[in-house]
Amino acid sequence: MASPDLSVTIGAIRMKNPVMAASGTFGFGREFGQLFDISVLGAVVTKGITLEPRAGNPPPRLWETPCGLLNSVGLQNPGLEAFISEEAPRLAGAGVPVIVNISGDTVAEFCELASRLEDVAGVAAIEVNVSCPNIHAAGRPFASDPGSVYSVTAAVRRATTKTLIVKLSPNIADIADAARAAEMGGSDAVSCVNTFLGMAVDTARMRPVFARVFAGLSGPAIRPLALRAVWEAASAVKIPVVGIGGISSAADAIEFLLAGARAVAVGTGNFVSPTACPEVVAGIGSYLEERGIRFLRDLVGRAAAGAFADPGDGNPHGHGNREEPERPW
Amino acid sequence: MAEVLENCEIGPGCFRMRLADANVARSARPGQFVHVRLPGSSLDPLLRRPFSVCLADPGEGTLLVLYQVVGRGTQMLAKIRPGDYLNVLGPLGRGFDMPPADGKGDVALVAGGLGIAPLIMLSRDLSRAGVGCSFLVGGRSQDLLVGVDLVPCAGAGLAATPRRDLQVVTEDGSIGRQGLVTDALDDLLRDGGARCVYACGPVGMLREVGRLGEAHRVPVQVSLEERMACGLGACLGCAVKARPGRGGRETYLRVCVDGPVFWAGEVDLDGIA
Ligand SMILES: Cc1cc2nc3c(=O)[nH]c(=O)nc-3n(C[C@H](O)[C@H](O)[C@H](O)COP(=O)(O)OP(=O)(O)OC[C@H]3O[C@@H](n4cnc5c(N)ncnc54)[C@H](O)[C@@H]3O)c2cc1C
Ligand SMILES: Cc1cc2nc3c(=O)[nH]c(=O)nc-3n(C[C@H](O)[C@H](O)[C@H](O)COP(=O)(O)O)c2cc1C
Ligand code: FES
Repeated sequence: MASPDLSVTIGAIRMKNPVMAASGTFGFGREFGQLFDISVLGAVVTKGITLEPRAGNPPPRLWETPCGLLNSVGLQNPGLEAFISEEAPRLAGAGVPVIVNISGDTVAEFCELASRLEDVAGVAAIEVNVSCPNIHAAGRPFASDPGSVYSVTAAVRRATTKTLIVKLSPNIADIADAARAAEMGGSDAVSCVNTFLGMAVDTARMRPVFARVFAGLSGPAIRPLALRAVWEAASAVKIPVVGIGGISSAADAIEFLLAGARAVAVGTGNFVSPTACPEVVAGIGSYLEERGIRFLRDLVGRAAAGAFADPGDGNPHGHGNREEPERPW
Repeated sequence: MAEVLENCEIGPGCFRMRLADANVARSARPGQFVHVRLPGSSLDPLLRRPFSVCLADPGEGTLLVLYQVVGRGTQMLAKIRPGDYLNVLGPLGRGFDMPPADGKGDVALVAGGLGIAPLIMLSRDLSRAGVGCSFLVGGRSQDLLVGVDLVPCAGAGLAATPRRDLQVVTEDGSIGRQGLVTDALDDLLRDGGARCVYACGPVGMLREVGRLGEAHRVPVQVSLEERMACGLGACLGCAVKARPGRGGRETYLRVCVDGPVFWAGEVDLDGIA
């Protein structure tokens, strides 16, 4: 048998395989690029970019939990101008689709970021981080309610012709609502999920560990939670879902694909094994080969077959002929 | 994967581990570290653990690490047997800068507890380069002074009587001078005995070394520790505050790639918990 076809499409991005490096865990590809050829990846998502440079939060920024990691990096980044002049030109030649993760405090900031990235060579897509728990928009992130997700998405959609991905937060009552809001706002895909809000108390100092008290939980500890979120989002929308949360092996990634993710991203797993991403790519290939499956796309959502009424359009999640829902917000 | 050749207890809760890793052994510079995955592809604890390279032998293809059991990860390491394998990433980070070649006079090395680890390789390379060293080794008590036998100039081991090239200071006076290693450094700098100071140990000690360096106008390099995730410079998790520059803007440096060795003037030692 010919080697299986791992390619997938997200919006206008054609990825040679479904494996991305998740935002904030891979920098701008420099460091990991010294360990392996990053062009073997399906895509690379950059650290979150803001209009102006940000210094980030005071240390400590990291705290280990059982099978997990709390982080409070606070969006330290060089700002849009430095990204465009110092990182983008190199990334443009890296042979891999580059997805720029953007963050802002207002809808206008998101739009300005997107429109100024419009003509930057090598930027394949924009990932809108509406969910960073370490910054606050009027006291809380946009992602905490579907109405704000809709308005940010719709506004950024008007500001860019590039592929648009909205990154959802799991810190919300119903992630399916948020996914629908992004879809209605015109997003080409949603990523599920960003980190879960958590915290830790330093029992020696009798104080919260982090200056900002709450921090984002990632790693294997969140995998079952993220998987449920992906299942729910994939059941709710037609646009593709990028599965993120605790993926460190091919088996983990395949779980997400079967649950309905068209692509996956590896985050904290990169820290534990810096070659996790290429290993996941290779492992997915072997899984398909062993089972005689020719196309990766035949795997997507397969675990959902029969779980929902099959509309007969090949989407096992069964929302194919669903009526456009009322806006629930 | 690196084969563990030796893992023995050399003091209460203090271990010396020898690993076969030709790549690290060939390229490690003093002050660099290795990032070690805990045995059994552990997901709990999840993250790798950073340890300074204590000595690297390119000929044998081996390296030495000194570590203290302080938590679950180091407990797991202590159970490793020779013949087991560990996943070792490295060498990582920016090591010590050698003193300017045109300078004259000795340099001082100041170790607090296990902070001696990276200074051992530094002292070896300094001696090879013909730079005279005063090695000041401090610890709480004699049994916690580990690794001194690895210092090239230590010869027969711990010296109870002060020597110019190796001075031992214990807080309880169980061996050597009683007091703090920084007291010995103060005396040395007062005599003009060093043109450059290298230090590794608890942050309180490093602050004092930085202060003494400033007072005596001697440049100081310190090796810092911070919690790490990637160890590669990508996650921005291991931040230490930089000494405010001219603009006064707050910035952070990454211990894993901008350090772990910094010039004392680069970082805000007072801001470290
Ligand atoms: C560049 C660098 C070089 C180091 N070199 C050595 C060395 O040569 N020998 C040695 O024994 N230790 C060294 N350390 C510290 C060592 O990494 C920690 O002691 C180890 O990670 C603790 O793991 P644990 O699971 O046993 O403890 P944990 O359960 O993780 O923590 C136990 C205690 O250790 C402290 N700790 C945890 N991680 C770190 C860290 N990264 N830095 C500082 N303190 C930490 C915690 O505050 C806590 O008090 C170094 C650290 C860095 C950053
Ligand atoms: C240190 C760190 C920094 C992160 N920075 C960002 C960021 O800048 N923007 C963003 O959208 N997500 C960021 N994330 C979230 C990850 O991209 C990912 O969604 C999350 O960690 C869950 O995946 P994981 O369990 O595989 O890490 C960050 C995560 C970590 C651990
Ligand atoms: S540990 Fe990731 S940047 Fe230093």
